[in-house]
Amino acid sequence: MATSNICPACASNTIKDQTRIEELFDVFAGTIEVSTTENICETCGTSGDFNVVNDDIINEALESLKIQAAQRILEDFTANNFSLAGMERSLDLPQRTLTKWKNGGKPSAAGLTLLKYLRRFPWLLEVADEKFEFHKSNQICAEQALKIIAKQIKFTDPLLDEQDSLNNSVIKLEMNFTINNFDNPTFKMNSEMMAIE
Amino acid sequence: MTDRDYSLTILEEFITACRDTPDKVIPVGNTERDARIIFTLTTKAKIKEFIANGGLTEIIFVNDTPWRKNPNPSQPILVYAYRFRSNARPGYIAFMYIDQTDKWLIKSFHRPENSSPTLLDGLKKLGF
Repeated sequence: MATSNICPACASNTIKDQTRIEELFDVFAGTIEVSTTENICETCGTSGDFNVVNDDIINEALESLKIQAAQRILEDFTANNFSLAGMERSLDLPQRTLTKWKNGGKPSAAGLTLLKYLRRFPWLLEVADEKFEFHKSNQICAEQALKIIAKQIKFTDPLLDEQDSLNNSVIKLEMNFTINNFDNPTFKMNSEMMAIE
Repeated sequence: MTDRDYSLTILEEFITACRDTPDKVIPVGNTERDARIIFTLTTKAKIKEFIANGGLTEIIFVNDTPWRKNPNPSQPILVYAYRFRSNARPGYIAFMYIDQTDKWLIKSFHRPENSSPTLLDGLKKLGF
């Protein structure tokens, strides 16, 4: 416990330092832990990084997470037979940009965000290939949505299933909302019986 | 000056401090961690830059309350609280100015207390 600095809230100099482990997370790169210092005023209880020493530690750790995220995303693409040169062509990036990032080069903030979008929605490469033309872009988007929905539908044969045949004029849709994560609500549509007279 | 005018003046002074004298603005408590997790503002500098560059939108004054842990109650210090929005994300910020140290302390930077998701919010977000 060392004393240092002055409390910015009450000007007391009874400050104790405490080591705190912070977890930094990136959905593509995972979690890393960093050790930071927290100053706590023993007079008024205010806590914080009064000496502003943690920003550099956190920034350094975040940079390492960014590099790892870019590497993992690009490894996923190459493992699925995407050519980095082809992606660079579609995205109008200078050749070998992605190769550099895959080999541990530091991606720009915008570049990494682009990679994250592409990793989540790889069909955006098709949109880029269509030069972002409005109708083609929306067509690609709709096709992808339909593919996802079609995978969720369980088709049954109304002629072989009596219960189904009783309801064969009904399109029964069960909608499940998952809103545990408010930032990313998911929507599942299950069609138990989908029959049209 | 009405309370509303005063709350806006204080807010403007705070935003100006974030822009012109960021060294005088200090996030305390869980502010830094909340800002990182909830708003992807990963450092103290980014929090202040965000505020200085007009990141708080649709700002609504909530209240001003005396700082409870003030060790010198004869000199009351008010904590000003506001709701705001950043894109679709609602937020809550509370700060206070300490005359003695000439510092602005950001005490809170998180979601508003009653912003827990409801089914209606989920449906709206999905476009229903």
